Parts: sequence; C-alpha cells; structure tokens
Amino acid sequence: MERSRWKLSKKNNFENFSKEHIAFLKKIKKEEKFISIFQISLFLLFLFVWELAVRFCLIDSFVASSSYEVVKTFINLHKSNQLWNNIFITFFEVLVTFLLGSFLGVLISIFLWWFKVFEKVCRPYLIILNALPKIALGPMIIVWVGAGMKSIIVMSLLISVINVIINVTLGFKKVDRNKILLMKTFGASKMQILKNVVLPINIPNIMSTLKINIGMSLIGVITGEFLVSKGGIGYLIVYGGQTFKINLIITGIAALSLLALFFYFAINKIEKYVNNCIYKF
Amino acid sequence: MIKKIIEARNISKVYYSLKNENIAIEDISFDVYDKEFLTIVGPSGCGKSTLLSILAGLIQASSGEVFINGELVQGFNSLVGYMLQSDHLLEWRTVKNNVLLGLEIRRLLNKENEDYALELLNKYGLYKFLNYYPHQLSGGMKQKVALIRSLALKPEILFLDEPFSALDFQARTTISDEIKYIIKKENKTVILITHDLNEAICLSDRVVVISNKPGKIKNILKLEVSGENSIQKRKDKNFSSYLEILWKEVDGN
Repeated sequence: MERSRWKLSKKNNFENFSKEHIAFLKKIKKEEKFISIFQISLFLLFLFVWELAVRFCLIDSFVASSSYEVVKTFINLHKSNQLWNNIFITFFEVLVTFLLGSFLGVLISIFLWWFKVFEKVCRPYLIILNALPKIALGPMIIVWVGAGMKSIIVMSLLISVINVIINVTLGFKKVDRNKILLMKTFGASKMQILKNVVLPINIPNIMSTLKINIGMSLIGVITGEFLVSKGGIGYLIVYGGQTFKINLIITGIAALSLLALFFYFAINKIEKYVNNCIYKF
Repeated sequence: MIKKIIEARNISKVYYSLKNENIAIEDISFDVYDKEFLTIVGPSGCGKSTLLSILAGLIQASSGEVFINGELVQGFNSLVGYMLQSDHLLEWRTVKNNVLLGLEIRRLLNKENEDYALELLNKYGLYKFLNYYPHQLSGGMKQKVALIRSLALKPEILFLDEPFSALDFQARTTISDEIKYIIKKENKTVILITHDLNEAICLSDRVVVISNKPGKIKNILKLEVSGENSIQKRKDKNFSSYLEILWKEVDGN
C-alpha cells in the first residue's frame, strides 16, 4: 500500500510538495532501498558462507552440497533439457489447480450463500474435508483417476477448492445485514444483492484467499508429484532423494522457491490491480 | 379533513425463539396524515425499528394491517423511501453512482430520472462532490447523500430510522435541520424514529410515545413549537414543557 502511494506521488510534480514532505518521502525511499540491499546481501552472504564452509571442510559436501554444486547442477539440468521441462510441468499443474480451484471455489461459495439451508447441510462435510490431510486420499485418487498428471491435479484441486470455499463463504456471511436491508428497501432481488453488495464487498477477501490458494496449489502439486509423477520439480526432488543426490534435491528446492516467488509476485500484482479497479481511490 | 396517508391497525409482532416467545409490539394503531412529520419515540429495544419495517412491508406483522393510500400493504412498497441508522453508502461507488443505486435496482435508470437525481444533488449543495467517494465526505454529508438516494426514487413517504444517531451533537443538529428543510421542500410525509427527545420536539408535528416490552402506544402528542430551526425551537417556552412530558412518558416504563 505504501509503495503504491509512493509511486502515485512520483507521478505528481514535486512542486506542490513542501520541503518537509519531500524530505519525508526521501526518507521512506531510503529505507526501502536499505531493506532491499540488506535482503540481497543476506542471501549472497548465505551462499558465500555455505561455499566457504564446504571448501574448508567444516561441513561435508556429500550431505550439504554447496552453492557452487547447486549452480552447476542447474546448468547441467539446463543443458540436458531437464530444467525448464520440469519447472514447466509443475508450473502448469499449479496454474490449472489454482484457476480451477479458485473458479469452482467461488462458484460453490455463491451457491452456498444463495441456498443457506444447503450450506448448513454441507457444513459438517466441509469441516471434515478441511481437516482431513488430503494426501491420505492420494492412493484412492490414483486408483480412480490413474497415475499421472490428472491425479496430481485432482488431489491439489481438493486442497485448493476447500480452502477457497471455507474462506469465501465466511466472507459472504460477514456482509453487514443492514447493507442487505438497504438493498431490500429498494426492492432488490437476490441476484442484485449478490452483484451490487455481496461480491464487491468481498473482492479484497477473495483476493487474499486467492493469495493463500497459490500456496495451497503448490503444496497440493508437490505432494501429488511426490506420490505419482514422472516429471516436475517434485519428481526431481524425489529422484534426488532416491539416488542420494543432495545437489539435485537442493536444486529442486531452489527452483521451487523461484516458482513460488514468481507466483507470489504475479498474484500480488493482480490483487493490486483488481482492488484498484474496484476501489478507485 | 386532511387525507390519511398511512393507517396502522392493531399491529402486533411476536418473535419466537427456541425457549420463549417475545412480544415486540402489541396492538399499535395510528394514522399519519398527508405531509405530516410524525416521530416515534421510545426506549431502545422497544420495537420501533420492527414497527417501521412492518409499515414498509419489509417484514410481516403477526397480526394487524397497514394501509398506505388506502391500499393494504403486502410486501415491498415503492411509495416508501427508507433511510437507515447508518448511511450505508457503497464505498466503491462515487457519490453520483451511490445516488443512482436505487434507480438501478428498480430498473428506472433513464435520462429523466438521472437528471432529477443530479438536480437534487445540485439543489442541496452536493453537486461538486459528484465524483467523490464516500470516505472523502463527512458523516453529515453522507447522510444527506443517503437521503437524496432515497428521494431520487420519488417516494411519497419517507421512513427515517434513527438517521442521525451516528453523528456528533453539532452535526446532528445542523443535519437534522437541513434534512427537515429538504423534506418539507420536497413535500414528503415522514415517519422518524429516534430516542432523542430534543430531536423529536424540534422536528415533528406529532410524537408517538411507545412503551417498552411489549411496545404499546402510551401517548400521542401534538406539538406546537415556534422557531425556524432547532436552536430557536429550543428557546420556545413550550419546548421545555413538551420535553418534560415526553421525558416522563418514556421514563415511566
């Protein structure tokens, strides 16, 4: 939020600003810069210390790998056409899960809001499904859907959709009853109440749910890949574990971190954009 | 003989819960005349809002009938405009789009009605805030926008459910005068609910006092207080005697 305000003020000409105000803005910018530099140096320091510790035999490179080894593994994977393929497989599975899970989740939430009695009927089932570790369903899903990408997506979809339903339904229920009463004084239909009040009020809530949902989709996909896959980052990690290649495991984790970071920034951008579209101030 | 606009006949409302039944209001009958400003006062929780919702046809009475312009009220009634305790402006809509909300919902949004709504905003000094968002307005201005949102639908009758209770004392006094002025100018019949006795005396032609649990009519008082606005009315010699009467009526529950 602060960042976007800063950008906004950069567009304005500074002539209207008082000296003190400009000084204040500069101070914020300086602090932001400091934090970024600190974050990056911390990461580089970690890589450096890690490498040194291995070089001076403080830790065993066979179990701890090293920064250099990981970078080398990255390059080797890239050369043997295994890096981007596997990242793309995971990326694709997460994206499908995320989109499908979000869409179905919001749709089901609307349905449950519309038919309140049905929501009450479903409640215990939702609670059980939410509490149940979905990985326990893995073997059953594999039997039903078959080993492969399909069962990975089905399993992560279960994780993602429940998360969306529970959060979004909660948000729908929290809408101020008086706002709905106001709509009723205009003679509004249920559809009009949904469209004009319930949905717009819940946009920030839905967006933050989707943010969590990206994480859920990643968890689901990686768990799925651990169980059945023939490709993907989860597969790389499991393969590394089975063949005792610690370099591969850490490279997989690094690739996964990059993917998670990418998804986080993408959803953050979308969240800001959507919120700005609705709350135009 | 002045025309009766609203006739309430023996209205009762009972709420049921698992353990007991709770009589919210019992056997309430009164009339509201054309262009009258009627105020209902009573302690909080006496069922004032329930009564108003029944009169508007938003909830069903357990027994009794309401007639508006001689017609039995059944369900939603387009002659009635409603103003609630809080303005409930939608934060993502500008002042203009908030004012047009009712028209949109009733599918009455056309050039003529839009112009009428904009003219109302203009007449009552809100035109320059047309493209503002609610959070940029003061509490009193928001209530004015909410009133114009109701007036845009050209209701004959306005129901005001404690519309000033969220405002501080000073805003309350000025805004209630302004809103009274707008309502008089637009020739509306009004029922106002409040628990503020000063406000009741300053604004209304008649006051209905309702007792607590169950809500029954205790007294109907016709007021004659001279003065242009609330401040002047408060100085009128009748003001304090009315206040005393009402105070005793409400307090004596």
